[in-house]
Amino acid sequence: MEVRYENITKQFGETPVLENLNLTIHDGEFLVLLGPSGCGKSTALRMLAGLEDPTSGEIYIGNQPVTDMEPKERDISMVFQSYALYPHMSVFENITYPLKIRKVSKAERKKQADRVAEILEIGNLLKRKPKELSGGQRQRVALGRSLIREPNVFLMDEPLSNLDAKLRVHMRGEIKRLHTELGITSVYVTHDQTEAMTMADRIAIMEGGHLQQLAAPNEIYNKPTNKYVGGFIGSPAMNFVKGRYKGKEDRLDFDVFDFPIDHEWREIFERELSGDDLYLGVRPEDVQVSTTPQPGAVKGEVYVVEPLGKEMITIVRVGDHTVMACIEPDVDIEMNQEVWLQFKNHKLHMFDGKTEAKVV
Amino acid sequence: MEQRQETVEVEKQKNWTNKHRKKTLFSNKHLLPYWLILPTLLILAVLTIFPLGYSIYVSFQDFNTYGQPDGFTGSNYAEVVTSMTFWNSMGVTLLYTFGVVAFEMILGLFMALMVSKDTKVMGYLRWVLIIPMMLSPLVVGIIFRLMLNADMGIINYMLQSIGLPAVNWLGTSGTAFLSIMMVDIWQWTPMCFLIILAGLQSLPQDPYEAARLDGASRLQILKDITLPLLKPIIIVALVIRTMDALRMFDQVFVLTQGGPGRATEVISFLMYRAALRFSDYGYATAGLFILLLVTIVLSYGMIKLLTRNEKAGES
Repeated sequence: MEVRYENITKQFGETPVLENLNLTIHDGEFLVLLGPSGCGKSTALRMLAGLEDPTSGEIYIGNQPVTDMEPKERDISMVFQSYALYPHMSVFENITYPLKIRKVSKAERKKQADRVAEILEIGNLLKRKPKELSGGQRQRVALGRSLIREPNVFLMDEPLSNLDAKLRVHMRGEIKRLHTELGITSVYVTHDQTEAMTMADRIAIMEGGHLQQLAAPNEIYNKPTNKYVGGFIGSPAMNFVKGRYKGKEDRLDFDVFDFPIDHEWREIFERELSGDDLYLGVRPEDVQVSTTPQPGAVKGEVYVVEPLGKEMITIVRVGDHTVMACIEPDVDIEMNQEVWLQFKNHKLHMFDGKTEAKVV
Repeated sequence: MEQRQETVEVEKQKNWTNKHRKKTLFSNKHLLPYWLILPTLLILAVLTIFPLGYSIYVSFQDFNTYGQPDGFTGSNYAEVVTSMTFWNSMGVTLLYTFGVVAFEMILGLFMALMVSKDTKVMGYLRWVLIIPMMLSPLVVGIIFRLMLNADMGIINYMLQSIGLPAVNWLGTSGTAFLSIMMVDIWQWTPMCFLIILAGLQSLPQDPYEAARLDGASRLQILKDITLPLLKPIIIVALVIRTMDALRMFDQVFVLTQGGPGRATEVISFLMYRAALRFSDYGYATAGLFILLLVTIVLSYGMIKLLTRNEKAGES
C-alpha cells in the first residue's frame, strides 16, 4: 500500500520537530528514514503509526486519509527499538496477541504462530517469557508479532540498535529477505548508514526536521544534493575543503593550492553559486596518495596513519586543511612524511559556501 | 642500598601501626558490621523483641482477680478458641477486612486509572485525594461520629433535606457495621490509590503502544496489559491493607465501642476490653496471638499466590 505524507508539520510545544514534510512511499517499497538523533525520523514514523498526532498536514495510506484514525484502525504493525514485548505473556501469547484481539480461533492462532516461528526460527521458544530470552531472540519475537498478520504497512523503529554487531549484520539480511518475500510496504528508521545503504530501496535522509534527500542508496552516495548528505553518508566521511571561486582567473582558490577550472565549470559556477565561497568535497577513497611529486598534485604532510587490514586511512595535513585518504594497505608511508595528493576529478563534489547545496 | 634501607623503615612503621591499630575497639574488620548495627538492634530489642517475647510469656500465664500473674497455664488459648464471643469477633473482623479491602482496592484502582495522566489538574487532584490518609484515625473517627449522629449529624440532615428518612447509623447492627466500614474506606482508599498510582506510573509505556497498534481497545488494554503488569503492586497494596484492617481498633473505639450488642466488636477491641476492663491479660494476649497467626497465614497466602502464578507462567 502506498503511503503519503502531505505537508506534515509537528511541534512539541514551541519546538518544531518536523517542518513541511512531503514524502511518498511506493507500494511494496522498503524505505529507510535515516538521520541523526533528533532529526524527526522517529516522530515521522510514530505519526504514521498513529502514536503521535501531526500539528498540521495529512497522512494517507493508500488513498485513505488516516491522520484522525486510531492506530488500530490503520492496520499497521510496528517493531519497536525496545521490542515492546508484553513481559507477562509467553512468546506464543506475544506473537498471537494481534490475532487474539481479532478473535481468531485458537487452532488458527496456533497454526499462524507455528508458521511465523518457523520463518524466524523461534519454534523452541514459544513457551518462554521475554525475560528468559536474549536480545536477538526478543528481536525475533517482536518481528514475529508484526508478521503474524498481513498489515498494510510494516514499521520498524531502529529494531537492530540493541543487538551486538554480528547479530545485527545477520538480522539485517533476514529482514531484507523477509521484505522481498512478503512485499509489504515497509518504513525503517535508523541512524546507522550501513543499515540504510544495505537494506533500502530508497533512503530518505532527514536533518533538523527537514527531508534532505530522497533517493536510492547509490544515488545518495554518488550524488549527494548538499554538503550535509555528502558528509553524513560514507565512512570515513567525505573531506571538505573550504575555498573561493575566482572566475576571472579560471581557478578555485583553496589557500594552499589552486584548482584550475574550464569554461564549462565556470558557467556552472556563475549560474549556481550564491556568493564566492564554496566547499570542495571528496571522498577518502577518491584521494590518491603518492610519495613522489606528481604533476598537478597537492603537497602535504602525513599526520597519522591508521592501518585497517584491508585498507589504510591516511590523514594528511595540507596547510590548515586536513584531508583523509583511503589507500592500499601495503603502501610504505610514515608519519610526518611528505606526500602528494591527487583527487579523482570526476568524483569531486562542489557545494555552495552559503546554502551548502550541490553546485557540481 | 640507601633505597633498601628506606623500604625496611617503611615496613617497620607499617608493622607498628598494624600492631597498635588492633588494640582499638572498632579496628577488627569482622566485628565492625556488628558494631554498626548494634544501635538498631538495641532499639528493636527494647521496643519489639522484648515486648513480643514478654507477651508470649504473658499469654501462658494465669492471672488472678487483681491482674497479677499467678503461674503457668495453657488454658488461655483453649479458653479463647472455645469462646463464642471470640468467634463472633473473628467473624466480624474477617467480614470487615474483606469488605473494606475489596472496596478500597477497586475504588483505589479506579481512582488511580482516572488520574494517572500527567496533567496539572491531575497533579492537584492527586494531592486532594490523599488528604484523608494524612489525618489521625482517631480524629477521623470523631469527625464521623459527629456527622453520623442520628439527631444532629450532617448526614441525616442531608438525607432529610432530600426527603429521605433519617437513619440511626450507629444504633442498629447493620448500619453500625456499615458505618465503621465507610470510615475505613474513606480514610484508607487513598493509600491503595497512591500505591497503585505509583505502580501505574512506573509501568513501561511501550507495551501500551504495541497493544494499540496490535488493535486492542481500551478495555482490552486494561484487561490484558495494565492489570497483569500491575499484579505485583496490587498484591503489595492488598497485603498491607489486609494486615492493617485485621488489627483495626480506632473506629470501633470512637464510634461504637463494639456495639450495638457485639455487632462491631472486632478482635482487637474485644481483647482490649478483656485486658484493660477485666484485667485478663493472659486471655487477651492469647487472642491477639491467634489474630497475628491469622494475619500471617493470610499475607503468606496472598504472596504465595503471586509467586506461584509467576512460576506457572514461566514453565
